[in-house]
Amino acid sequence: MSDIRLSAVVSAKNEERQLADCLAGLKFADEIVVVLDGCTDGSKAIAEKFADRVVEDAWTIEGERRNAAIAACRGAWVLEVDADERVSDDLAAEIRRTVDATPYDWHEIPVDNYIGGRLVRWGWGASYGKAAYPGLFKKGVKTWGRFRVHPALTWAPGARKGPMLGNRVIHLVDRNISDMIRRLDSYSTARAKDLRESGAIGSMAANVRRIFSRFFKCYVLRKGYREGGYGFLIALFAGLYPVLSYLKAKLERDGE
Amino acid sequence: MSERRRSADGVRLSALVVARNEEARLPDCLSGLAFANEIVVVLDRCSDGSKAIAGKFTDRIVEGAWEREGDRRNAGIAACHGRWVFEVDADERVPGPLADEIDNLIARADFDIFDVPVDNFVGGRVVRHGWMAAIGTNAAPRLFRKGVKQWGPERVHPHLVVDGRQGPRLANAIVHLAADNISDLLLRLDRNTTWRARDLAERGEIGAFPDMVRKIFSRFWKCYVLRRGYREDGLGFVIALCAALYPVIAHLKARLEPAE
Repeated sequence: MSDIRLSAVVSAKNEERQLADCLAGLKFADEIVVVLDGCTDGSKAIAEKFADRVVEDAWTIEGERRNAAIAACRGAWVLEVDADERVSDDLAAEIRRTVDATPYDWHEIPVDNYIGGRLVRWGWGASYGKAAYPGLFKKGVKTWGRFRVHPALTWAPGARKGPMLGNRVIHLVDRNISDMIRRLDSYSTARAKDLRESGAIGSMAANVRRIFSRFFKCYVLRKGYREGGYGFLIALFAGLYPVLSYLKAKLERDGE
Repeated sequence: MSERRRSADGVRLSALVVARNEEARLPDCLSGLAFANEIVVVLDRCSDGSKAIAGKFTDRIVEGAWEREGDRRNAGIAACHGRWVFEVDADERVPGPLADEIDNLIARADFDIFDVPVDNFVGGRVVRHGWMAAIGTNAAPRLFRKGVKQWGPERVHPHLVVDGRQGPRLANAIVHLAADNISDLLLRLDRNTTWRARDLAERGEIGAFPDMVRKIFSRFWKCYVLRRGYREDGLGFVIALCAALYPVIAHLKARLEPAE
């Protein structure tokens, strides 16, 4: 490949509020690539200020957009960041050290999720939020699946997973409880489309059971109870995500 | 017809619509109210085309800014000249048979206030079972002699003060376009819990978290089982869920997110 060691890539859809802060923290990479997905706001102007390369298109499937973003990178390593994420100086230094020295092909990065100004460390999971993600990888080893939300990942045969990084990426996931509800709504709408397309939407009974099993997983096993009210809501919304997706898929056949 | 009535015995019936930026839904709503002797439209902080639309149907428009639903509705009732008031929301429609029933009823009523049934629609589908006050209602005292009913000061779902003889429930229903789809129900839950949280915070009494958790189960049971939401297929489940989560979400918004 070229002499570019590390590409930082951000794919964004109308993210003018978040993009500048995000990109300003990525200057430690050898190149910054921004993929704009059907943006109608000021994202493009912001991207052009920071990025070495801007790719514009429109995708309906999140996985395809993310694959296109990776394909646009020229670096031997790729760092995938979302517009609502921030890379601290310590994490940046660790990433540089890692891509220079690691014998592995990909690493997970732990995530600190913020709701408003508050760090919520416990209770995430069950496709309503992530505690860590495989965001640092050699180009070519990671491929996203074709789903709209939470696409599955496939790894190139023989790709070796290294230890999780020590520093955390800051994820400004929600501003408040309203944002959490809206995210539950938009995730379940997109998921319903995936379900409808797959032809197997599941059953009501199984999805009702999941309310309880997923609540338990987030609130108890992942210690959401330590976060008080926010931990409760994360577990609740993680629990409701499958049944709402199922009902939207079942009752609202044609799009909306 | 209505001119003759007005000159004979003053304004008999006022139809009252209180709206905030409702340009999309106002025309269909107002065009169903021609049976009243006057239409009064209260416009609360409208920045869209609501006023122009209202102007096509009536010259009785009251504009203002009210932060509280109860104050806004009381101002609307005060502006009505009719001896009877019929309250309709912008997302509601009055079918012809209901208009006839109201017209006949107030001509010979021995009562002061009547419950009007409400048919709640989600998308194109009527959902009859499983509603609960904070999310939707099956009947509401919308037809009354002026002066008999007053709204309380809460921001959302204000309580009512009624002083008069309660008549029988009407036979025909208002059509309430409650939500377009499940997303709409969830976004409505979000909006209403935000308002409710402000009321709670202002009152200084937001309740206890364990009580709110218990209410999830009791309210779900009430809507889904006792009020037979299960008959409505999956929509009854979502409605029961919204009703169930309303107190705990409002409580947590009040506790964790002091207004603005």
